[in-house]
Amino acid sequence: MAIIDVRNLSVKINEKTVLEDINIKFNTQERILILGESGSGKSTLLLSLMGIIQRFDNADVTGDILVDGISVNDMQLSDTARIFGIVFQNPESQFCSLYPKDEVAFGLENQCIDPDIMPEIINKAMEDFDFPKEKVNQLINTLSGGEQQRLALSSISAIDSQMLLLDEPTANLDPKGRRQVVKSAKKAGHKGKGLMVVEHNLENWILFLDRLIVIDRDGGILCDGDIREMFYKHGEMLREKGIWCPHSLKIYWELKDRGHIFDGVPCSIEELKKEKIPQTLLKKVIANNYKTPDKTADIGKRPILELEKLSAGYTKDQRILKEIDLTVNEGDFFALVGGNGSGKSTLSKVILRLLDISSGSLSISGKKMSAYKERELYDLIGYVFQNPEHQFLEDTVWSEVAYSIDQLYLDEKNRNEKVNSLLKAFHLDNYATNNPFSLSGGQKRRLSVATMLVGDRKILILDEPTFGQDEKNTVMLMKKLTELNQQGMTIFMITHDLDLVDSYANRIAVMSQGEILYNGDTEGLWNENEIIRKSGLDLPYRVKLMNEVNF
Amino acid sequence: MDMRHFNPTAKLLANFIVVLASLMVFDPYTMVMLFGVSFFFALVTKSFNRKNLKMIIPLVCFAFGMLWMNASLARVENPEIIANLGPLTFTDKGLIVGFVLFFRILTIGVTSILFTFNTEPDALILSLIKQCRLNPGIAYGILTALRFLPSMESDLGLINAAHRIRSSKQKKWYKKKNPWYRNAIPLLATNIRKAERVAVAMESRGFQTDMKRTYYRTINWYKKDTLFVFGTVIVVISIIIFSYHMGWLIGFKRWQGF
Repeated sequence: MAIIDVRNLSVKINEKTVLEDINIKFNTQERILILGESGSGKSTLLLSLMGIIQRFDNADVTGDILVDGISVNDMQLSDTARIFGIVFQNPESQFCSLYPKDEVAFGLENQCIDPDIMPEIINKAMEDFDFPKEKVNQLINTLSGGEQQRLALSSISAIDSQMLLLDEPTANLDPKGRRQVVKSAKKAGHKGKGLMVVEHNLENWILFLDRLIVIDRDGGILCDGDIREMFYKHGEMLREKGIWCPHSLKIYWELKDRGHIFDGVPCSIEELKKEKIPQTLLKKVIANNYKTPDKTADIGKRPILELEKLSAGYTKDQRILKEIDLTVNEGDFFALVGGNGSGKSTLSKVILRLLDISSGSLSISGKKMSAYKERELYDLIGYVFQNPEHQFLEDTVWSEVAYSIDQLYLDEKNRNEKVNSLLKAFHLDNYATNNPFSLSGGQKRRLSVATMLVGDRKILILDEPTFGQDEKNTVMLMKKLTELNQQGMTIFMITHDLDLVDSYANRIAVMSQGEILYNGDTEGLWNENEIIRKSGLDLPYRVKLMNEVNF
Repeated sequence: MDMRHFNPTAKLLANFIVVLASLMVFDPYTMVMLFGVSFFFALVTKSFNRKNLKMIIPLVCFAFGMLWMNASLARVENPEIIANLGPLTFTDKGLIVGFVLFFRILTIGVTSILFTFNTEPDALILSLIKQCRLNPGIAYGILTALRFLPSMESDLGLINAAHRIRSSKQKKWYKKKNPWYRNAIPLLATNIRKAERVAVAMESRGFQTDMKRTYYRTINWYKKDTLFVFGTVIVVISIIIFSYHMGWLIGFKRWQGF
């Protein structure tokens, strides 16, 4: 166990203050949760602990971090790696080898471990973190996100790092991958490893953490102490600042406001259940916190997208989509959900004719797909790609939107008006002259949606629109989509976030291994436990809470 | 004989020797012999498959281009016209120059297939670290780039699709494909960021470019590797000596093409 002492740490990156006068002391066996607004320097703090930010050319670091009294600046990277091991958010860009075993060996090699004893260490580390045995000889690129994150955990544990720094390790994973990673990280915790967690999906393991540190937007520390005590004392402030907090705490705070007296601070559904909250009160709070979409009757709605026994694949003999039947009605807020690799993106490619149909049929607005010219098709359907950068064509935000409008032969005055109003609607008017690539993640996403909203597009397909977005941006985007939906546009959203679906979509289809397991209204799915389990998804928090307290 | 079991550096050396020899000679006999030996070796080691043959199609087209262009356009002394085709006249000596270039390109193609088909990229890197003392910083840089290649390919597909959907306005067929810089910017933006993240991840695992480290997998140099390299040298020299005795050999200096 080592004692870490962070003294007056301030970090400026490109002259911009990211962390300001941070003072914390902890030992490497503690389990710490770090919260803060997005961009508040949480990742920077983790990298500073390892002495990596200090090596950046564009970073100006003052203050010091002492590991058992020795400054991290005076340590070799291979020594700090034995104290801290980090798992990053993006599974695919943290490996430098082609095969899993080589990756685990990479850290050992840096520690100059004798190659003869490496195989034993590697096997044990991979076993400890439940890395699937049959995949040890597979290329890392072909592993799922959950498997890649468990590989990252194995690599750290092989070096026997004392504390795991987890920088949103499950943000890019589907619920199944998420559960696997949490299980593995907990296992490490049980074995005496410390944890420092920056994470949004905490419902499964918040009970496992003891200490909370909240970082302010200006990079200073807002509060630091026992997790429940902090939630109890500073709840008001956390809510005011809009800092992301677990669902159960939001429910707790609101119940507290309404006068319910609690024994402790409930951080999970189980703990809420023990508090014996009157059902009517809880019902009110849930209804207040979680909007559910209007379930307007489907009768009389015309189908806009009809798939009949549709099969497709990337090669002749391959069938990724297997005889799919699916109908989307005009004006639906439709969600297509499923785990990674279930065929969701493939289906969207078929709808856009980026992939050929091998059998079955697909009609759009009652007309066969083959009857559409490419131009007609893309004038009807807009598509927002998972990575907004993929669809940028121009040098400024303004011309990016203007480019889309130019496809419609408007005169110049009309065009300029239209561009300006779109930019305003998406809160991008202050960035009109910026390069699209220089925008923040949320702004890029909004711009990519805005560019698809010109003309009379009837359907908007979005591939994981909230992927990598913080809560504020997610809410802003979803609000915009709801508005568009109310104006009559059909929204077709691909996602694996069922909380999002629960709040916004009125119809849903579940995909698993290229087949549709469920197609119907959103509320109906919450009773189909078997389908949820089979597709590797997870019930939304609202439904779980309702089920647990037996409404 | 399974080529996969040889040391990658040995294979690289052998490849280099044959390519170098093919660049030095300029008579069709020696060149055909060099090509023949390489081709025969590739057949024996079963190194051809549909995929890698497909990949050298552009090279073969290029070789054919060199053949007819030299046959008709090469500046040679005392040429004899052997055929006419429209405005083109083909000369005997030009044709010979063309043949030499044709087989030189094919020899390079075949030896490249021999090398790439039988060598795992990570084994090559490890071998270069050990046998050629390549800096691990550079070596791991190359290895990471190799990991990125497949994702770059799928990214490119997505970028093209995205741009196609956005520019639905009727375009002339030759304008449908994006100019290269349109693709390059998003590709670079994504990959530079990725590279930065990998670099940070590597440092977090304790990696420094100037450090002492051990290796889990080592690629050793065995006797058979020495034999393989010497074997190649002997075969190449024998061909050249044989050619010299027969009076066929023309070295680089006496080349009078173009």
